This record gives sequence, C-alpha cells and structure tokens, in this order.
Amino acid sequence: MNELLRQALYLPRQASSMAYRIDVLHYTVIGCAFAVAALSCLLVIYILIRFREGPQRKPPAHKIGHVVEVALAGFTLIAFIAWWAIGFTQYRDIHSPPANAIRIHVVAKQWMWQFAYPNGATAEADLRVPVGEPVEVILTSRDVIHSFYVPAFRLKQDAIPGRITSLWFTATEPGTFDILCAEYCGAGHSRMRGRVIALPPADYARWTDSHVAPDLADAGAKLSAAYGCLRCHSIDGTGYIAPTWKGLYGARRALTTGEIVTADDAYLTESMMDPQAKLVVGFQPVMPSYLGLLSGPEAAAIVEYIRSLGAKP
Amino acid sequence: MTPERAHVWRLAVWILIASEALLFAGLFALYAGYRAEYPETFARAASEDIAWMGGVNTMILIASSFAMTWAVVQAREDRVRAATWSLVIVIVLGLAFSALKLTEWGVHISDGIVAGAGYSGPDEGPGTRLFFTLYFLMTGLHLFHLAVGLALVVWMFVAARRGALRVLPLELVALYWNFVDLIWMFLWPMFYLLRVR
Amino acid sequence: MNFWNEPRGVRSWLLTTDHKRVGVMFFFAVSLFLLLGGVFALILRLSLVTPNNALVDAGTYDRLFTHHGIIMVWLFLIPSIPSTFGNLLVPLMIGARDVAFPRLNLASFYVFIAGAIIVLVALFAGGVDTGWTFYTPYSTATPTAIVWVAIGIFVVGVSSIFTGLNFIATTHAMRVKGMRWRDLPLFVWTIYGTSIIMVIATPVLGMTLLLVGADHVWRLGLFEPNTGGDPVLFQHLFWFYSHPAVYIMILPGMGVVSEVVSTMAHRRPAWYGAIVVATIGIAVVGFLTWGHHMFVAGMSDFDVGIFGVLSMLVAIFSAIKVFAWISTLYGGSITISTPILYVFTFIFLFVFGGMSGVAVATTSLDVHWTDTYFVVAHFHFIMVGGTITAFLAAMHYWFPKITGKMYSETWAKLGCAVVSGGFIVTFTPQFLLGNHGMPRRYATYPPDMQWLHVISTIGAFLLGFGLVMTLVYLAAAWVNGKPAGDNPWRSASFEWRSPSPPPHENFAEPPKWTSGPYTYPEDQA
Repeated sequence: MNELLRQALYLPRQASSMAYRIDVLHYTVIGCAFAVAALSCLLVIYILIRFREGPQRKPPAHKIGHVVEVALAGFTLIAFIAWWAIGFTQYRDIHSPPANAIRIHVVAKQWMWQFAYPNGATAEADLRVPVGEPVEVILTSRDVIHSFYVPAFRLKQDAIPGRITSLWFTATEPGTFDILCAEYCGAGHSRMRGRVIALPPADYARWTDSHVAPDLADAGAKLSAAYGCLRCHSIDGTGYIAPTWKGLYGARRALTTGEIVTADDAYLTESMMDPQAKLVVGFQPVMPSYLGLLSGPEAAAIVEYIRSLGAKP
Repeated sequence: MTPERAHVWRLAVWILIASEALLFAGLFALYAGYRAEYPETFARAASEDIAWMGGVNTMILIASSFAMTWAVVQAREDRVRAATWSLVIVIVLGLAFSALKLTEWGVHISDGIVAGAGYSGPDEGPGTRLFFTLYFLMTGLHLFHLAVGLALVVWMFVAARRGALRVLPLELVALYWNFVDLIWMFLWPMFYLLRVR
Repeated sequence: MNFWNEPRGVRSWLLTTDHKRVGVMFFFAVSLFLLLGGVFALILRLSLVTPNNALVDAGTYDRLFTHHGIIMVWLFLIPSIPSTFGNLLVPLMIGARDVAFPRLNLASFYVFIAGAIIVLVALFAGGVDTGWTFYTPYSTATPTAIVWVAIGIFVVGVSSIFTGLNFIATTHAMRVKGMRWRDLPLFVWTIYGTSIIMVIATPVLGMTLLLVGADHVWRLGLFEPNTGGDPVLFQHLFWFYSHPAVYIMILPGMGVVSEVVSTMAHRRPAWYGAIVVATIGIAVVGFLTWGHHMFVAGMSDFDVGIFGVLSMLVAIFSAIKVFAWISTLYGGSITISTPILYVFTFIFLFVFGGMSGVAVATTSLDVHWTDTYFVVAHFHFIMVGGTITAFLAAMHYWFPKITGKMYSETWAKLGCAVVSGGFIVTFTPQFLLGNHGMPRRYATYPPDMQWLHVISTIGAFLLGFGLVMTLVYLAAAWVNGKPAGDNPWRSASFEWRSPSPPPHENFAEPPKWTSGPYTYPEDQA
C-alpha cells in the first residue's frame, strides 16, 4: 500500500528514518484534499443539473440550516488542527537530534557543497554517511542563502550566511541520493547538486580514515570543484556560462573594453578576485568575487590546475 | 461642505496616517530586531548621538504641535489673525528643528559616522553600523515627512494671508503635523534616551 | 448616451474622473500586463521542455522567471480585480454616483502606469535575476537593475494605497440612503477587506524594497551578515506584506463568486453573516501567517508552530465561504451560463488548491515541499485557478453591464473549457514534480522528470490559447454583439438597476432604497 501510493504520487525512495512517517501524513492529507475537491466538484455538478432553471421556474426550496454550517466548519477545523498537531510533532523531531549523532559541518557557497567530518576529513559534493547511525548536519553559507535538500530523505534546511542551522537524519538503506539546492542562489542554482552516499558503517569508517592531501594541481582540481568554479567553467573545451579552462593558459582573449589580454598567472588571479574588471567578450558579468574566500596558496593551486589543462604556445 | 463630506475627508486622512505609520513600522521592526540582537552595542552607540540636540528638538516639536493646535482653535473661532501668527510660529519651529537636525548630521558625518560602507566612526561592537544606518534612515525619513508637513503649513499660511483660510483643511494639516510629531516621540527615546553613560 | 460616449473626445477620457472610465482604462492596462506576463511564462515553459535547457542560458532563465513573477504579481494580480471591477462596480453596487475621491482615483491610475513603466523599463533595459521575492543577501549583491525595479514597485504601491483609501471612504460614506452595513453586497465587502490590506500592508513592502535598493547602492549592510545584519529579517518584512498580498489577490475573486452565485441561483446568499465574518477574518488573520513561508529558514520551533496553526485558521475561513456558495446554489433556480461555469471551475481549483495549502501548512510536510514545484503548483492553483478564473467570471458576468452587448454563449463555454482544461494540464504535473523533488527556479533538471515538464508545457500553451481566444470573442462581441438589455441575468443587485451601459453619473436620478441587493421575488427561503 505504501509502495503503491508512493509511486502514484511520484515520490522518491524513502531512504531516511523520517521519510515513512512523513509520507503517511502526506498520503492522508493529499488523499483528503483530493476527495474533498472531487466531492465538492460532483456535488456542484449535481446541484447545477438538479436545480437548473426549468421552463416553469420552480420556487427555490431547500435551505441548509445554521446547524449544518457550524457542524461543517467545526469538523473541518478539527481535522486541520489534528493534521497540524501530527505535522508539528514530526517537525520538532526533525530538529531534535539524538545525543550520539555524528556531527557533520556543511558549508554552502555559489555553487557547491563542502563537508567537514568530525575527524578532520573534508569532502566536496559527496556527503558520505553511515547507514543506521544518526547524523546531524550543521549548515552555514559563505555567500547567499542556499538550501540543503535531500528529496529521498524528505528533508530540507536553509543554509544562511552568518547563521547556523541544522537538521538530522538516519539513512536507512545504502545508496546514493541527490542533494539539491532549493533556495535560489544565482546562475548556477540548478547545477548546485551533490550526493549523499550512504555506506555500511565499516566502509564509512574506512573512507574517513583514508583521506590524504593531494599534490598542487590535484589540489587545484579539488579546490575548483569545492569553490564551484567548475559549475560554470568547463575543462573539456565547451563554453557554458563562462570560458572553458581547456587551453586557456597563455591564450590571448578580447575584452569587452576592446583590449586584448593574455591569460597569464596575473590575469587569472585577478579574474578570481575581481571578475568584472576585465571581462571577456561574449560572457555575462555573473561571476562572484573570491576575494577573501580564496587564500593565496589556494588561488595558486587553481592557476596551476588551469595550466595543467593545456597551454597555448 | 456638508458634514458628511467633512467626515469623508477626516476618514481619508486618518487612513493615510495609518498607512504612513506602517511605512515607518518596517524600520521600527528592524530597529527592534537588531536592538534585541545587540543590546549593548545599541546602548553605547546611542550615547554618540548628541543628547542636548535631541532634547531641544523634542521641545521644539512639542511647542510646534501646541502652536498648530492653537491655530486650529483660533481658526474655528474665526480669528484669522491669531491663527496666521500661530502658523508662523509653527513654520519657524519646523525650520529650527530641521536646522538642528541637519547640524547634528553634519557633526556625525565629520566624525566619520555615516550610513553604509564608508563608516569610520567609533566602533561600539558588532552592529554599530546597523545602529547608525537606522539612525540616518529613520531620522531622514522623519525629516522628509516634516518637510512635507512644513510645505502644507506654508500653504495654509498663504491661504490665510489671502483670506481664504478654511477650517477643515487646516484641521487635517494639523492632524498630519501632530502625526509627524508623534513619530519623533518614538525616535527620541530610541536614539537618544536608551543609552549608557 | 452612456459613459462610453458622453462626454466625447480623447481628452475627456484621459482627464476623466468617472469611476467607470478609470476602471476601463485599468482593465486594458492589466490585461496587457497579463498577456506580457503570460508570454514570459510560455518562454519559461518552452525552455523547460529539455532537461538541459537548450533554449536559454541560466542567466537568461533567471531573468525570465523573475520578470514573469514581478509582472504577474504587481502589475496584474494585485490591481486585477480591485482596480478594474472594483472601480467599475463598487459605486454602482452601493447606488453612488462615483467614488469618494474621483480625482484621486484618476491619479491612482496614472501613478500605476508611471510605476509600471519604471518597472518595465528596468526589466527590459537591464533585467533582474533575484526572483520576485528579492531575497537578501543575493538581491543586494546582484549586478542587475534591482534599484529601479524596487522604485517602480514602490510607485505601484502608492497607487494601491490610493485605490484602497478611496474604496474604504466610498464604502463608509457613499452608500445610498437606507443601505446599512448588513445590506452591503458581498463583492463590496471583499473589496473593503482588500482595501484594508492594501492600505496597511503596502507601505511595509514599499519600505522594505527601498531598503534593498538603498542597500544595493550605498552598501548599507542592513541585511548583510558581515555588518551584523540578518538576511532572514528581510524575509519577515517581505512576507509581512506579501502574504496578505495573496489575500488582496483572492478576496475580490471570492466576492465575484458570491455575486455570480447569488444572481445565477436567484436567491439571497446563504450565510451572509458568516461570509462577511470570514472576509474580514481572512483580512485580519492573513496578517499573522507570514511565517509559513519560512518553515525551513531557521525560525524557532515555537514560531513555526504558531504560524502553522494560524494558517489553518485562514483555511477555515475559506472553507466557510465554499460551504456557503454550495449552500446558496443548493435549492436555487440556477441559470446555466458562462459565469456560473467559471464559478464551477473556481470552486474545484480553489478547493484543491486551498487543501494543498492546508497540506503545506502541516509543518513537517512543508519541509519536503517548500521551494519545490509543489508550492509553485499550490499558489498557481490559488492565483491562476482562483484569481484568473474569478477575473474571467467577472468579465463574463458584467460584460453586458459595461458594454451593453452580449457575447456568444457557445464560444464562451468553449473558452471556459479550454482555459480550465489548459490550467489543469499545466499545473497538476507540477504537484507531482514537487513530490519528486524538483526545486523551483531551476534552469536545468534531472532527466527523469522530463515527461511531466512536457505535459505541463503543453497545458501552458493550451491555457494561453484559451485566454487569447477569450479576449478575441469578447472583443468581437463588444463590436457587434447583440444588445443585452439592462439586466440580462435578472439580478436584484443595485448595479443592474441603472441602464446598461450606465450613463455618466450612473443613475438618472438618485436611486431609492426600496429593496436590498439580494431580494428575489421567487426566493422564499
């Protein structure tokens, strides 16, 4: 029955401890909504036919009394309040993590997710969690408001700059589930995706322990994913929102001002810190500034990564 | 003008005042929100505002409201001359308030206390800039309303000089003037009185 | 001789103080904006046919949905029924010659046009990519024309306040001698409730948007975390207006439905008192529910609970109205006409849309649904399914009153079927998309959702086609329709007691209060 309704309503899998409870309430409320709308629709059709104006206009009859009025309103109100009470209980549960929950910090930024684990391991885009153990996700944002949304968990929470918000869940089955950004955050909004990878606890432990630091270009690759560069800049030669990085290093490009610029270390670094200063023809001024976000070594690593993607002689 | 029509005019001005009050309400809500978040900063920052100027301005506005009401009372009794003189007093007091307010702004600006990113005044802790941004916005919006009120009073004065002073418009202008005065009665404690020494 | 041709000349129209002419001018303006907003919607739908958005890039897509929202909300939905049908009919319905402040009324039209021009120039010259909600801190940082849009919306807001002020004063002071408050037509009650919201809520929005604009220009940092500001505070201020604004949009629609139901059933509205209480109740409680837009924005659980339960209260007022309409129809003597068919559509869409509102007010469910297509579908059911269907019902119901002509019932019924069908095909799939986890404002989406997007797009074109068709046959009827007679629906309401179209000052001589607006000889209940 659960499976039938879930598929009829086109809901994703129920992959968290909360999902089934929420779905049952969902079925009830939407079922009632549909039943009431259909019933009133049928009732009005019946009335329109039964009481339509005839050749001899019948004097109106049938009055529905005040008792019915009050009873209907009262009954509806009780139903609404009951749903609210159940829903609010669940809502409170979402915000009351158990004491033994694993606390994972999430930083959102245009346009990517970063995760930091209790043992110091970090990751971007992919959030690995152990199946069957409670996980508390602690959210904040570096720039604008984002929203951490995992449809398969039925959970969502805004990530707000300057504030900490949180939610918790227990993944109930191993698998990969989409993380989506649900609060509009600019041109890369719909591509700000990530994944929750629910692993058996042993695999999870192995992964967090095996985190190692990569070399410089490798670090640059990681950073460009982490800072969301690759949401707009491709590395395979296709242009999307921004110029591709393939073959960019050392290339000469026309600016909107009419000047020609060589994409050397200085230009690339400047474009990270003050993107609108020298804009290449054919692109919109949508790139946010990374001034204060990227440290010197980080910017250098990204430049190194761009260089590794091929240089024009 | 029929009494019904006069009633409609009064109703309209009261509705307008309700609407104006809500225009300020958004800023009051912001002030309340941030004051609750940074109570110490706000109390320290308020002591940067020049207390005697705020106090004198309050006296000025109370006096002007009194003169405004007196003008209405005189006009009702058909004593146009007395009403005209009361209006002159209102205008003078209104100008004095504006002059004092602008002087205070000038002092602030020369101290580097401005709204927005150029702020270089004393740092009273987190939220300092919010306090002064709200200070400039709210006193500025109030001053703008006062200027509109002043224009209306001048209009009444001109009408009186021409011998065309009517009681109802004067009464409505007085209503508006008192409303502007009342707004200041909230701004005064918010920006001058609730402070630490 | 009627208000269309007396006095004559373009000048007499541009400087008119006749409430009917102001209403007509508003009608043409908002209809134009409806079409413009609709064109943006169709481009949006078209670009969502493929998961990777082959039509436009992400930046353009963001502008498109922002423009769609801004035009529809501020230039169509909010002025739609109050400024057009309110202006055309409120004085007629209470037996007055005009509104309380005719010149202010004309001013409100020109202020509206001025604001609309500022908004449109800003949209077409620079564009805005924040969404119609202008959430900070994105809106204070975006390099787009946010400042001028904010100013334009502020100016449009001034027009709303003028209109609201005028209707409140008119209702208080201009009623025909003998008409007590409890005799007031229900449409006038809803316009009265709407006007209260306009006058009280609009200034808060105006100030909030000006703050965003000022923040953008001078970097005030009022909502920026790096100065200690709080971005969520903006949301509180924004929804304090924008939630009641939903009732500005829907309350007059409910009033239209009440009038059509009573006239077509030829009887006094059932539970008149309850409808009035519900109208004012919605207007008042509507001010206390704004927080339900922010259930995942980090409010305290306590606040969430309070906002949830208050939202249920608004739903109950709406439910009472639906019961009352059905109860009026039950046992009446019903003329089956295009307006009543639109009311039928309205009731179905409003009940389902309203119940989906109850569903999202059930806090834990909202966590999954908020900011997804479920919410998009929910508010389009209310805004399009409610307000636009009521707008169309009003257009067909009062068409003979205003033009003196009758349209073709066959075309009208066909139009109603196409619009209703198109609507259902457009928005039902969006509920399922929301369930599946499709966030709103997405330029691209996972490919497994494509089939629902395609269906929705087909529906959108059907809906657009239906709307254009409606405008065409109504225009044709206006030019060469059959004369309708003064009172084709045999209504007892006051607006039908003057000639159709009404003369310059509505009534040849001051109307006498002989019987109330709902006194039907055959009504024995």
